[in-house]
Amino acid sequence: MAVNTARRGLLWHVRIALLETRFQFLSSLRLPAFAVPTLLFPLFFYLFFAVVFQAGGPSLTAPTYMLATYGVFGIFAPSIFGFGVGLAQERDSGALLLKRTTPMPTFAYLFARVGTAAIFGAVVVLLLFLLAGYAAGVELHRWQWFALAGAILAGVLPLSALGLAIGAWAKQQAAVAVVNLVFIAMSVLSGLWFPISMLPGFLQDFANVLPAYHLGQLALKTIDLDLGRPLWFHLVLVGGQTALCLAVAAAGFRRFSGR
Amino acid sequence: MNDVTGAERSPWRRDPWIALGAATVFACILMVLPAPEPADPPGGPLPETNFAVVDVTVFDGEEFRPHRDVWVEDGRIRAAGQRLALPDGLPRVDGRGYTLLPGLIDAHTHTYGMVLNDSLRFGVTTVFDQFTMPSLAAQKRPARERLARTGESDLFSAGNLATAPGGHGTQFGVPVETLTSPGEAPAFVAARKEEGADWIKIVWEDGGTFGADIPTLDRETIAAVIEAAHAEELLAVIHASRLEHSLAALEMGIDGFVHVWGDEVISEEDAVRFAEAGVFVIPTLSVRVAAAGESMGPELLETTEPEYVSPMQRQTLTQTFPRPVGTSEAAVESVRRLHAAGVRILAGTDAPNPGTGFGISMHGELRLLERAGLSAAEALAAATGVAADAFGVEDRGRLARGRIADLLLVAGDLESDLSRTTAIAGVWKDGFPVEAAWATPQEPQ
Repeated sequence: MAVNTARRGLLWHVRIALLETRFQFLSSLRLPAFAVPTLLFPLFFYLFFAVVFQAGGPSLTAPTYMLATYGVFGIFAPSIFGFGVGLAQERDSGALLLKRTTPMPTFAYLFARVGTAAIFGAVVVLLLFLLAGYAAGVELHRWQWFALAGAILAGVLPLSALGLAIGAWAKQQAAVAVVNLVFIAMSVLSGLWFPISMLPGFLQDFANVLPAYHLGQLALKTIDLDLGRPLWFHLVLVGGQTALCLAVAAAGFRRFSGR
Repeated sequence: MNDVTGAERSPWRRDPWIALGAATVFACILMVLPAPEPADPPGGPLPETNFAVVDVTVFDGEEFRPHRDVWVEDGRIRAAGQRLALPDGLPRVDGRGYTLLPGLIDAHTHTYGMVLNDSLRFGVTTVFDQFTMPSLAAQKRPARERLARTGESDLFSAGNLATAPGGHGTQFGVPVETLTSPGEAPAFVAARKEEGADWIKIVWEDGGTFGADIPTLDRETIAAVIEAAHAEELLAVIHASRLEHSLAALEMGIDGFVHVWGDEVISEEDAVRFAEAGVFVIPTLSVRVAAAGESMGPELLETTEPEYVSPMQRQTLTQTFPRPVGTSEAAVESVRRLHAAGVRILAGTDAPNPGTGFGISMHGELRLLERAGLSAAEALAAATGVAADAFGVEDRGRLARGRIADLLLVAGDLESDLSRTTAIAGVWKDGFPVEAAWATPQEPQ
């Protein structure tokens, strides 16, 4: 099998990454246990709490607020499950080893995982936005729709890093349980299910160590409903947490390779 | 092409286009999602009676609340909150970069002539007058009971004050009913209530602090007037220019002080006694600094567009007291201690004394209260919510559901710069914009 290294320009890299993303997306789509709850959970939550419960209210604050938090919740699942469970599975079944023997660069594999999470996330965001705009009556300035979508989807990166850290260490069977636990607990403690201000004070302080909390606040900032901490505060902390997750993941891979 | 990805017709050539197409669809949907109805920036003609000010920083009478909507319906506040579900077609004022606050309440003025006009133009929508002719107060009373287009602030007044024959208050050429003994107090107070006085103001002034000798009420009579006022369920407030007299009035059960004394600085222990008694103080620092020869007049005239200042405002602002009396530091320090002890402070100017002007001096008083240690929010509360509560006026002083839509819109962020209260972008009284008051739009900085 001749590999023409001369052709490996930027375009080659883009194409190989997109191709791997296509396959990754299709394989995820064909896994109903992943695709269906990922898409429907946040939509049902939003429909129930923001549309049905809030219908006819004097203020649109609650449906608008929940649009941001359930949006982050919506990208949480595809991001953390893709790496956290998918990677552990592929590693323990030997599929990862097989992939490493192909000429596909590692970055394309990572890109495909993140890209797949972003595609699922974008679908969730779009459906949530339609539900909010046309069923809950939420109105946002044009730039805010874009800023909110961008802020939510940017969260795919830190949450994928979190999934990567879990997937790099946990065994296949354990990964499902660990990821579920982290996903549910962090969603609640980050204020993605109900406003963080409803939690007791010490839990609000604790939320600072959770990347999903900062992502929620960053999304809320675009619609002026955050708790009022400065932008850099959330960016620095979530950036640091992402770097930490990547370092943990790297240590996990070194262990795996050394075996 | 002979690498792992196979033939020329491989779908991978289409992938970038699919990605691009998906992103375009995504963006197109974001382009059509519902956006709020357009809101007009302040500067053009302001809407009346039924409208909303949207995405504005609200000072609600107690604290600042950013990104609020305020919905006015039939001249009253229908709702104030975040992201109100406003009806389609409701006129909207874009409040971004502006602060909306309740119309100010000047808790110490003396009313005559066109002064209520001057006050309103500067966002002072309610005046607590501390001595004017009862006939004038009676004439102005109906206006405060109805919601209608008007060019004047609403007036609440003590009317005729309680002073001794020839005492302070009798020197202005206005006929004043006086009293001399405790026995006359019940009849005196009943007569004031009959005239329509909203509360009773008592004068305890022997002129000592400015080198004069003036007849004044004795202690027993003052105590009897306070008692009679309370029997008639009226508040009793007092003009006392000495700390010693103020402490004595406190013992007698006075409800409020219409000046801060200028002779001595109150001790921290005595300030706590004021707080425990629950009294309020209207320091009128504007007139205190003017009496000391440090009037806010020049500063206010310099920072205000000349066309908004009436000849009378200019005249009284530039007047000076015959001779400077004391310094203002003692008064400011007393206010600082009273405030630190938790005493309710109200903003009042004592206009139109020399060095003050109706309406415009309230903006100076806010700055003086800040100098005395009040935060921007506390100074504004002294001119709105705290003042309304102190005098038991329930339908104004706060931006809250059901209150009269007396509103002041200013350009900029008052929390960081209280002096921007003069950057007035609009005034509403009873939900009606105050006509052509501020033709030049005020831009936020």
